[in-house]
Amino acid sequence: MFQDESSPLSSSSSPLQVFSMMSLSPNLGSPYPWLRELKSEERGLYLIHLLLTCANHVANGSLENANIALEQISQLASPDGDTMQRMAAYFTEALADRILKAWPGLHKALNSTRIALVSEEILVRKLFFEMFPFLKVAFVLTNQAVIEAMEGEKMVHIIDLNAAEPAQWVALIQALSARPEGQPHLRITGVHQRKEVLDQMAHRLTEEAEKLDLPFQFNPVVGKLENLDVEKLRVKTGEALAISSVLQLHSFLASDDEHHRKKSPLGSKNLNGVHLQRALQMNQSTLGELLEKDTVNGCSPSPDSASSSPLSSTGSVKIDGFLNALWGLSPKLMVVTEQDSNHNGSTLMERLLESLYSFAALFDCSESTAARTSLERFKVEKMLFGEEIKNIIACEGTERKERHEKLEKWIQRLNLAGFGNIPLSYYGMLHARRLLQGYNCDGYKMKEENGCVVICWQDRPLFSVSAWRCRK
Amino acid sequence: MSADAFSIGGSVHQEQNHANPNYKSVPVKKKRNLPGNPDPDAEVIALSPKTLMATNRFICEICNKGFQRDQNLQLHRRGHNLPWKLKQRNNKEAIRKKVYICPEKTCAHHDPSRALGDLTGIKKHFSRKHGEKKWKCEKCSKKYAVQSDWKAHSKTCGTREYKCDCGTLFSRKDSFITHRAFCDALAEESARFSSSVSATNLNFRNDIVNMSIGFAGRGAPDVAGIHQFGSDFTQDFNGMTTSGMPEMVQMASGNLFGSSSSIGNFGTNSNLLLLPLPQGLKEEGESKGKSTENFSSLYSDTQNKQQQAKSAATTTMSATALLQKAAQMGSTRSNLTSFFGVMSSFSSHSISQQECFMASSNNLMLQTGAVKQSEPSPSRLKMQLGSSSIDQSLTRDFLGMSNDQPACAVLPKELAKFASIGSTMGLSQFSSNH
Repeated sequence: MFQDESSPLSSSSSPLQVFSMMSLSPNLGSPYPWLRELKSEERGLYLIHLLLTCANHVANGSLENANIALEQISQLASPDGDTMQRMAAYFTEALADRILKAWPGLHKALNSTRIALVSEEILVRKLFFEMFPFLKVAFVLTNQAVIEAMEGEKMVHIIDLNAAEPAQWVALIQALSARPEGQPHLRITGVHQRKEVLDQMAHRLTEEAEKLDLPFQFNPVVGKLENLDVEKLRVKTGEALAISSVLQLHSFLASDDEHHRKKSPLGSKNLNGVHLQRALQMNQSTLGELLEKDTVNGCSPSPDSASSSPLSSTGSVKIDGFLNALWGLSPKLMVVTEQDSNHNGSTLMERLLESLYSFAALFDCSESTAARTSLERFKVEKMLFGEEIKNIIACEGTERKERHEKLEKWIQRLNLAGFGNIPLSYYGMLHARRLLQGYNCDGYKMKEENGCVVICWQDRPLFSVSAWRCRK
Repeated sequence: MSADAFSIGGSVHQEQNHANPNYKSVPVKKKRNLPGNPDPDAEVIALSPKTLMATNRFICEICNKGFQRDQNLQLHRRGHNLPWKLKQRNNKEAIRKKVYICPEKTCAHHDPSRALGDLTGIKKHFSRKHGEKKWKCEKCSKKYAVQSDWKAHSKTCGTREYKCDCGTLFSRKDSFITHRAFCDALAEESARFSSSVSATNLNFRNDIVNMSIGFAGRGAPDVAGIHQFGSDFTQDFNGMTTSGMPEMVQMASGNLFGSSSSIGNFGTNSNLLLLPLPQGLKEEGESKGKSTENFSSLYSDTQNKQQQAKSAATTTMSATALLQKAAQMGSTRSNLTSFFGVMSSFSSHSISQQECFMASSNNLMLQTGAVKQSEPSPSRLKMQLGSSSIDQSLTRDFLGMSNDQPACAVLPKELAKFASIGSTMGLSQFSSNH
């Protein structure tokens, strides 16, 4: 049956064609006994090879071959094995999810009884906060920037775009309370989807403020960030505003007009004009790349043209709108923490390759942090990393929220939106470095780039923190 | 035939086990046995040393040939045309169990309550303990009084040996293990380590290592797992390991005795292992905080000692390193064939294709690896897919020099196929080639 797959292109044998001609005897599906004999390193390399093979098949639509590859991977991958095994487990799950989306009915049916336990979600985020220093470093840098920006201010208003972790603001309350010029009047507005989280936060923060006798007010805003109406934030005149965005902005890059593009994948050429203009404005060296990219844009099953060009502005109106809205509030300070990886490539393979490197670093980091038997580690890996991987690999269009981009792109965007960079202070970085050292693990590295801080695992940048002011 | 053996007790039985008139028997009284394991109703028989040592106690009066059993003698007598009678076992009266005591007064088995229940047994006992050792092993210098002991020994002598660090040799595994647990020489060695508690922990760690190996379910057990655990325990949240552990640990305990080398250093404390393991679990939990410093030094010690053949498997490569290696391998073709040699031998057809695909994928890796910050352009990725065309040979064009159009030409076709997928028409339709 499979031999029919061979297309009439007989003259040249592209690998795509060759793979389609692969004779799939039933034996291939059966477990290879020798697979179990592989040593850890060989197994890891073989897993990488299989993952890429599988992804290629998925990208090309050769689902039978993808299935075989998945079968083989499942012999070797395991969520409680070594780092490569764990990674492979989550990546293959994502790939399988992606394949399954070709049958929406099937996909929906399989996911219909899934319940999202709020308590587990909250727990996992707490675990991530505790186990890894990334968020802590971000909080330390944010707080320091706030303290410095709010020097001399009597009325301070902080907007937290994802108010999940009270620890950050507890530290700020303590710091502001102890500042030499006296306590300010502090107001914190927290945005979050879950009311329970905001209630908990309110409780904790008011408790802390009362202890220190700091005039304090917490305003909860329940709802999704993408639907946020800035009016609800109730910014008043006369108060100094600081905005903290921790890992929130990238979801705005999922634009809502992409599904129109799906129907005419090669029609992305129409956008070349717009892209060209932007490209000329921004970064002329990438023009060649841009052209090349668009010609093969249609390769992925559900192509989206929010490509990895310097600025895919037409494709992502949302982020611009949001940034504009924030700019409109005239914040004195905005601190942005984002993942520093390019997981927003237009093709599956691009994203897969990049995310393999990033998550390899994260999983290695996880391996050095907790035991393989640790349930907490498993939860973080499954519910946080695994879900991110699934989103990056299996989703397209508006569904794909985890559109991480590199720091330089964010700098460009924020500049365009009217913000000017404030270099993070030496003292803040010192504090952050000390915190990293406290983790007793020399994998964590911190470097400074154009006034911004990038937190790395070994050589791989993972998160970036940058501070901005409103440029009029 | 004179009845000779004297039974202890009131009645005198006709015992046929001795025909020699020179035999002297010692009359003893039958005592009531002390309560305990010995059968209180058993008949205690005391035989003289000569009786016990005598081999052929039944002698033919004609030719003086000796026999061990009366029955054999009787049959022999037939040859002399002498009257013979095979004595039948008399079951009309209740058969009383007979136990035998050792005639040697200083012997523990002289006491009727510690009598041995078997005639052969008491004979052998007497020879072994109070007799002369006439049989000597050829290989080693061991001497035996009983011939069967000697025979049994010479069969296994030198075949399999366990040697303790103190120099003692054992032929039996269990005795070797037990000895090692209490050996003084080992005690000295482990006294070098600062705290005895950490030794307990280490034993426990071995459990975990074995367990995590079982957990992973595949691959060779890496000793390196230990190393990671060493660093792990410096962090707090490892204490929150799951309740599934105790069962696992007990399962893994069997493994401990399998590899003698790995626990060689922790012999003194292995007695703790023999206790129910959850206890070890608690100890570990309590002392975890204390032992962390000792721990890392201990592990470095053990790792130094256990280099050898495990060098390849000691370090589990991080995922990052693996990816880099894969990219590297993609750039040098020679490595590829040797690495996947096992694969090509298995199933040349399909695997070789995968092998070649590895080449292309490695190129993808290479591109990404080399140009980390910028995104790899999709067109170049596709080009490389096209470039590693396989045909019949396994030549791989890694650098993508053969810029072939087919890669691009194929795409619209694939795309068209894929458009039909989008309308959920099912896989079969797809594979049957529109």
